[in-house]
Amino acid sequence: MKSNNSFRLVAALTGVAMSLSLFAQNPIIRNQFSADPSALVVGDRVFLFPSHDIPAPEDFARKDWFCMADYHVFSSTDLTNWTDHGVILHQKDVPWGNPTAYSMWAPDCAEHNGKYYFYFPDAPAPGSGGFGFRCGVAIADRPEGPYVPQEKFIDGVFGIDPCIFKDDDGQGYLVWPSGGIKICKLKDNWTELDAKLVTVAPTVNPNIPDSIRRRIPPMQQVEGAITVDEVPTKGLVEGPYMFKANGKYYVTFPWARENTEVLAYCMADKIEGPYKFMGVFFEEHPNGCWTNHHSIINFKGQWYLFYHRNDYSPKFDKNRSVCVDSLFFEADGSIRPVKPTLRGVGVTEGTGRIQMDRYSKIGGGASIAYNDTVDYFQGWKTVLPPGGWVSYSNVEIKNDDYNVWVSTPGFWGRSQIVDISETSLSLKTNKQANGYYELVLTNDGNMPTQVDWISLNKHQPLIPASNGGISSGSYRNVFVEAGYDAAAVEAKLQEVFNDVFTGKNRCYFEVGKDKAYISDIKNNDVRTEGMSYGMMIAVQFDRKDIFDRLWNWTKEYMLMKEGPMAGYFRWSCKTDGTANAEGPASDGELYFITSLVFASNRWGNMGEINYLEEAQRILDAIQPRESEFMGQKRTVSLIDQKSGLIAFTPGMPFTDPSYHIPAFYEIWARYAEDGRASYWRECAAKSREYLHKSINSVTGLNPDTNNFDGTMLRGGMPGLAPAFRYDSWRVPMNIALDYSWSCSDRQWQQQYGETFQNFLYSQGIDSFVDQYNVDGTIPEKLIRAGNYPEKLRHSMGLIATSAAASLLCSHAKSYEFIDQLWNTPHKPDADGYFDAYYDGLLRLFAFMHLSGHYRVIERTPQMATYFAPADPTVAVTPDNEGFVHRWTIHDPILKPNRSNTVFVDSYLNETFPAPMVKNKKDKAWHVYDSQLYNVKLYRFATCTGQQRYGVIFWVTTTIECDTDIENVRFSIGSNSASKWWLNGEEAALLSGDRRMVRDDMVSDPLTLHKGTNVVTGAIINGPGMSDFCFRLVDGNGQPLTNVKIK
Amino acid sequence: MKNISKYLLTGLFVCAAGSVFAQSGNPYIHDPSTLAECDGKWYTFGTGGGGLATADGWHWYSGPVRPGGGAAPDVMKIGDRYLVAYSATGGGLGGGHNGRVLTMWNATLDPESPLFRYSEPVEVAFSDGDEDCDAIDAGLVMEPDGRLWLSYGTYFGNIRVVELDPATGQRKDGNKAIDIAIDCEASDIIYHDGYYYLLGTHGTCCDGVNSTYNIVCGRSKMVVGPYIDNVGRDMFQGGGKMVINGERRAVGAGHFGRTIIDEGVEIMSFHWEADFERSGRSVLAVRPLLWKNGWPVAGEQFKEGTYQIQSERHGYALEIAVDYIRGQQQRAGWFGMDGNAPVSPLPNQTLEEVAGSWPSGNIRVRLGDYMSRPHQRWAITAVPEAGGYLSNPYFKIAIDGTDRILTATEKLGVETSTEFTGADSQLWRIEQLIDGTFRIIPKSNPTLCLYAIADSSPILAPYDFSSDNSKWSLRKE
Repeated sequence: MKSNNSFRLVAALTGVAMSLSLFAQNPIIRNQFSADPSALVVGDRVFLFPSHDIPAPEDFARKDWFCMADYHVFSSTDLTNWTDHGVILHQKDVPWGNPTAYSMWAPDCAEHNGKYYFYFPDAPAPGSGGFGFRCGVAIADRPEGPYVPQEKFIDGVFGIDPCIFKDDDGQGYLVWPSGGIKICKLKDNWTELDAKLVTVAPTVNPNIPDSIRRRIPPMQQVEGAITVDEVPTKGLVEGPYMFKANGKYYVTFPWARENTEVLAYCMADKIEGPYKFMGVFFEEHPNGCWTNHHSIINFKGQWYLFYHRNDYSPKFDKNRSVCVDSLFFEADGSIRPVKPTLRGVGVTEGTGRIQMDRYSKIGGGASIAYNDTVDYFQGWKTVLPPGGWVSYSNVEIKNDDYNVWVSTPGFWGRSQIVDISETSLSLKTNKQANGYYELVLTNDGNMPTQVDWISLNKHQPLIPASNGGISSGSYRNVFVEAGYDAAAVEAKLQEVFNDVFTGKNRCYFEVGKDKAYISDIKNNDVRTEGMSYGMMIAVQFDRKDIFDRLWNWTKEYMLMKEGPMAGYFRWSCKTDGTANAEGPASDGELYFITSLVFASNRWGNMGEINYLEEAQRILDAIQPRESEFMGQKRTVSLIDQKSGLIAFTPGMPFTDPSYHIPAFYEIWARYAEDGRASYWRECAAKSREYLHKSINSVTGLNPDTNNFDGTMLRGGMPGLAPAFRYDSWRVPMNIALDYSWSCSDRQWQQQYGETFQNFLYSQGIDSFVDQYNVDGTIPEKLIRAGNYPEKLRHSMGLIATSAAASLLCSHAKSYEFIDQLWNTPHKPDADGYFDAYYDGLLRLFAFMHLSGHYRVIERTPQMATYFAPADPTVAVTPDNEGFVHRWTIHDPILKPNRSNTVFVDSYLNETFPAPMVKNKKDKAWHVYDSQLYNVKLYRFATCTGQQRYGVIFWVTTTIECDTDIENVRFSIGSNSASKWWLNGEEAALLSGDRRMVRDDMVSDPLTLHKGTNVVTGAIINGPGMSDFCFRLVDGNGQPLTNVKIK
Repeated sequence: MKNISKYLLTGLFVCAAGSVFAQSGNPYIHDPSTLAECDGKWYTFGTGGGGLATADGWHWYSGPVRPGGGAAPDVMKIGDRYLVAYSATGGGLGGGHNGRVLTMWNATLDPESPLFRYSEPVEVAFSDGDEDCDAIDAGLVMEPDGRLWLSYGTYFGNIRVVELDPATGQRKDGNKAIDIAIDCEASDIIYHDGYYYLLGTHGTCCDGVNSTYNIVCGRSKMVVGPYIDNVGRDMFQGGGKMVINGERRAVGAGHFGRTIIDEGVEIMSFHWEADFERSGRSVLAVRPLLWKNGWPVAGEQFKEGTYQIQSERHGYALEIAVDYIRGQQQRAGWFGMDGNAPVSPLPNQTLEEVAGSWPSGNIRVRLGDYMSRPHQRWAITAVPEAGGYLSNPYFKIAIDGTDRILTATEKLGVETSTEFTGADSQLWRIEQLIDGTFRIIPKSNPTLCLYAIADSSPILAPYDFSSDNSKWSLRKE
């Protein structure tokens, strides 16, 4: 079975927008399962090292058991907003581990000599000398990784759940369950136990047959370790945690006291003990979740207990989620019992999503329920009967100028966001002693109501889309959401378009009657980048004239017609078309293909340019070819064959993060018809996976160039280590595009957007600069733009793309990025620096994105498919089956009808008492030959840009006869009802609920007179796709083909 | 259901013309998928996310779970798992027509099973907002050689078919959609005896008692068409032969699904847009599916009444083994009969005339020449409290007017007992076969059916569609 069938939880498909910025409350990790939380304080951050429960994939046999393939690490500065730093260790990467055991159970991590030591249990690979569970260690320079696992597991440690304890003197101890609980010194390398290991016969389950027992290697037992033997002997004890508070040593542990686990602890004055059993400080989970793993830290003066519960998997308690609550000590050092809450800890920003279902208090019959009983990750809602209320504490309100917005779950999971005044709810804000607020939401009405979340915000809260435009066909107008007037947005967009294409500082220049180029003015050349951007903009704005001119120039001067890279485009030319280079830059091809596919969708391929054929030709050219490359024979392709990622230039062994626009590949898969649909979809998935690795999870920054595995490129230009500079500015906009179109990577991309904007915001919204190292520091050496001096600037390009990232964000900071883009004029800097080209194009793209005008261009039916213009003076004959193709059609006349159901005879007769007579001077009549046996009236309306629904179509045609023809019948089908006349006399009535069915109704026998006969019809279209077919049959039902039609 | 209990009380069920003998429980659904069996239960998915399930086939309740919402899913068991195809969008009159059909797998349809988990859906077909297609209303079909196809579309444009990979549920690379019909919705393709049949729904949905939905079909030698109707008209030109339309107490038949229960036993499932007995709600309906001259025909739902139960083997009818009592008649000689002399109707032999001579205990059942005598007339009444199967509730079969109850014996025979106890041996499953005849199965042993092993000898034996011994004609008087 292929891996792409592996069963994964279906998230993110239903309409409820999941709040991805993680706002306090329990559980704290809300986009995946997380369990066995080990927290570690590093400076002003808490790092969280949980294990990662997953639903069993197909290759894991025990569907009802714990299943964990990797570890993520998360961090937070406020215990409220948690950043997912991604996977730090996968079972495939453990040298001694079984790569398919799914046994990456509870880990722990601590700092030692500036490095981070991550201890984890895993099942040893067959032949590695291990059995059962062993304990490994992986080491990193930073708490978020990357971690490098050691070659071998730690000798002497058997079983699960290692805990690392670092005493005040820096001595490290490994703590693990082993009958009782063992505490053993580590050597200074922290990879070996500092104890004598004695080899003993394995003590394993006596039920294991001898044949297998013989194959179990001898065990090494630790001599000289501390054993905490005051733990209960009845009921499994596992998952120990050790910490020190007020000079006392605490060993805490889950204990299956009766049925499921509680948390209990022992205390000692010295690490050697004696340890005294102190009892239980955390009771069994009321919902029956069996396990109860935990850790305890002191952060900024407050103690916290991290634990887990199966909140997102109510029917299966082995898919758990991490929670946190405050913990307190009594004066004698004993732990005050902790009561788990939903509210959790931390402060919630009022401008964010306040999930009232994570209440502090509840009353009046209010209750909580899942938003979606299929996808529990959609969270909860509060159900408030009349008089019901919930309260939520510790909300920060920075600005009193706000409206209260309420998100209420709607039909089919689509939430609705309304001002609280439109609901029966009221909100009270009570100031707490600590300066924060308690919110109390009450249902004052007499009907029950439901609330997903509330937000205290001046503008409507920004909610990232839950469906991509590829599937939904809809796009947000974020400017309007942020309070701008819709007409002003349209005007501004046109103004920004004009700046690029027609203004005095334009970079678009027409040449001759059919060509044009876009110039990088500061470099005085023409680049595939700018040409392809221009084509994308042209097709977005429905400017076929601009598109065709740019393409003609590109094809004439940039397309390499021969040589080793034939079929690619030279990335730079002089403005007269002379080549500056003989090689491509991959992003040009990327945009050429996509914009050509869109042109094909929008304008069809029956004109001078067959756009689809051109796109397919490039798609073929970028496939692997044998080529001389830098003096060597090798395979060259746009997409690196091994990694599936777009290369910096074809054949180069590295990539540019700003060349990754996964949604473009999905467009190719859908529309390019090159037979590589699943390959392009795989490329999209790989690109997204790569971006996760390429982008710094703390700053949201990425380097301009990158290895295919996402690591930093070494070498390069001296003193010019890859950093976040000009190319990179495009990354936030590209990810916004991928989100807006595809929405396939919602959780990560939402987190990315807010991380990125948070970083720039921390640098000053008005003053962030345009070059950074990926860790957020300023590069030693800057790159200058064109011939302008080396200087850090608050560049328009980055203002634009960072604002575009608002499509990904829910936080209120985005309003400021949007305002900044809107308000910042594109004009020269004090030193005269001005970039009409790159800054100008990125600015236009950002305005297109935020106004909802950067879209997937869908296939648009073309008039030519359905109709050919006809000359009414030249007669035609019916086709072989007697169908009449020549019709004069009147522009649709508005006549609203909600439904096509059952148009009764009397309605038709009242509506159409007599045929409409064609007036030759009336410009509303158009003569066509239908390309099909049926006449697609709906297409006539849509392709001529007219009203399509709720209309009446009048059609007429003339039949020329040499003699009288008797016993002729009309044979008609129509969608929907219709009425027909011959020479002013009623001939047929198709009433009722009509479908377009050939020979649906045949008229009484009619006589066609010698000379000209006029047939007239009126066809109703309600909400349907109106069409009709009309043929003439003789008395025997045979088609009549020997007449002339005009 | 009030009607039925009243008739049961009086013991005199007279079927009101056209009354809907509907599935019990809460069979409310719109756009039901083909029925699928999983661990002995039947499931169907509808528009919106939920669906219906039944443990016995007759009592339906809301229960199945499907993410993604949207419209009109279909489900097919492939190997040991289930492929669900659905559209993430809702189409809609006058609305946008950005549609997409997605497929996903599940190892089980039972939401309570630990194995219940949907794979991530993958898009297999789509329609842009204004092209001649509306990619919703998925229908799955597998060719006898294992090729898998999906049909989809609505009245907005064309019905299309694309090929899927049965191993992955994904669209075959490079596969182009083929137009096969216009002005249909809710397409479904089935295979029967060398032909593919395209079932489509004509008319208008979603308008309660005014919904004109009706199911039509055409057939083709190939999945990709052309689908031609009984008068030679292509469904791409609007053709189609009616399979089912409105009835007296229910209208708006739509969203056909075919389920093969056994060899020669098929049912069609669909919804009525409006069930007049249930406030005009949209309900699940099941009918026997018959094949006549190569065309699918909706069978009648089997109804209560007094029947001759005639064996297809020789033509003898089921009767209890009692003495034949001669009927009374004044007879005149053939010769010299006065043709103008008055005539009068003769009464039938009555139960009272003969029942006294019958043994008081259990009576053997045999087959005999039908004379419409009391010992040959069987009253068949529903026993809804005993549950049912896909097309009906279980039935009690008794000599009309008596408590002589047809009962399966432990010795693989049948007899009449003298009291209705509600035991499984007294409950019968009566199913119409694709040729219009019936099979009759005791609830106590569903692997056996009433079987004419000799012209006069009914026993219980395994069902065999190829043998007339298994088949019965039920003739109502």
